[in-house]
Amino acid sequence: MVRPHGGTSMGRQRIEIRHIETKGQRQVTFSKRRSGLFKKASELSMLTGASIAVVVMSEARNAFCFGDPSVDAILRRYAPVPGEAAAAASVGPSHVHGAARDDDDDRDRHHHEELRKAVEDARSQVAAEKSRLSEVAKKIEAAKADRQFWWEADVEALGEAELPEFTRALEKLMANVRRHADDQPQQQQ
Amino acid sequence: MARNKVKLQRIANDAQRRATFRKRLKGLSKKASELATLCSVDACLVVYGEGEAEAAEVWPSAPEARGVLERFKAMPQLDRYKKMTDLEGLLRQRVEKLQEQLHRARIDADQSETKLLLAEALQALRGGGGGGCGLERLTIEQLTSVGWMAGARLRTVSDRLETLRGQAALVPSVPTTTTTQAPDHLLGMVVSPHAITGYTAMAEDGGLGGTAAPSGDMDMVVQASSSGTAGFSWASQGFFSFPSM
Repeated sequence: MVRPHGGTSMGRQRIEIRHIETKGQRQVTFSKRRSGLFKKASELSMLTGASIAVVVMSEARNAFCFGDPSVDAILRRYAPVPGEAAAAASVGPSHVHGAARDDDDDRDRHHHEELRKAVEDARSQVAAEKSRLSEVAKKIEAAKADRQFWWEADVEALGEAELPEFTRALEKLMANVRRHADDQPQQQQ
Repeated sequence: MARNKVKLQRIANDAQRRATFRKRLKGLSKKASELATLCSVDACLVVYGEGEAEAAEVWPSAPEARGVLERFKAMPQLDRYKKMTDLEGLLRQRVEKLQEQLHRARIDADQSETKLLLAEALQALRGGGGGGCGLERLTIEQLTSVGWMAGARLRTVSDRLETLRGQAALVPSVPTTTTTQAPDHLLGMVVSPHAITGYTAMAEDGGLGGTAAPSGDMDMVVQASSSGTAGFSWASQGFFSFPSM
């Protein structure tokens, strides 16, 4: 399982599958699990090329649905309105409609592929930033052990004597920063 | 089951794909069932395997599923489409969320890095790090961040100083934009009996008041360890011991 690295939820808990009495909890569960269900459905579709429709009715009589390629397409195939019966019959072997349908599918698939790649990229970028953060955090820990962070203690803890010294140090630092910034050739942001 | 992250692409191997289909279909049905029970809602799944001629896999049962779908179809079009998503929608949502995460992660990492740079620069001021001011190799963005963070600290410190001085009923008149031309030796630790007395007599003597010459005011830094600093009245304020110089 992935290590939890943030958030304040209670983590994995064995839950009994029965009606949830508390309204708030029920609603949260509905939201999360519905989302997870759609995600799983999308994975099934992407991995195996299946066509899927998921329809969920909420307590408040809202309909949440997910479909690949689309809810409508699946409904037309599975539960065609009598008038659509003739059309439904043609949702059979694609060679009947040939090229046109396949092109649409291909285009969709390409697009999905692009989006999927975008997800992958974003995810790996997040991972990269997080590891940069932990690298720096390690260095900070080392520096703290080395008493380099004396100034980080709660400002409250610093007495009146230290503060002016700290003030001077900071001001000198800022002057240095300005000096260096001015020295540097103008860089594009 | 997080052994290897499966790449979300159509599985090339036929047998593997069929097996995955079976397994995941089962899992999907289970999840749907749990959702329905936990939240007492109606739901249905309709799944067509890849081959065109496949019969539909349906959950919960054909009649029940039809029931849900009929209710669904009976809804006004607007309501039906309000919460409808497809693969593209889901993927887009995910990208958005990840972008947000990325943005936040970047900020966190940048903040930490700036903190580290600030520490190194302050360290250099104390004479550590073989000369130089610790700012040489920074980019302009890093310089800006460090300067900003230093400024923020300065504000906190100044405020704190004001508060402390106000508490001690002293004239809070020492300007915080003090001399950056403070003699270098003052950045080290210097003990001044005069200033020490001034502190222990905080109440009466406006030790930090406008009367004392600015440079005199500055001699308030105290060496923690060896010079017998016990008994300072503000020691109980949580005097923070400095690393020995």
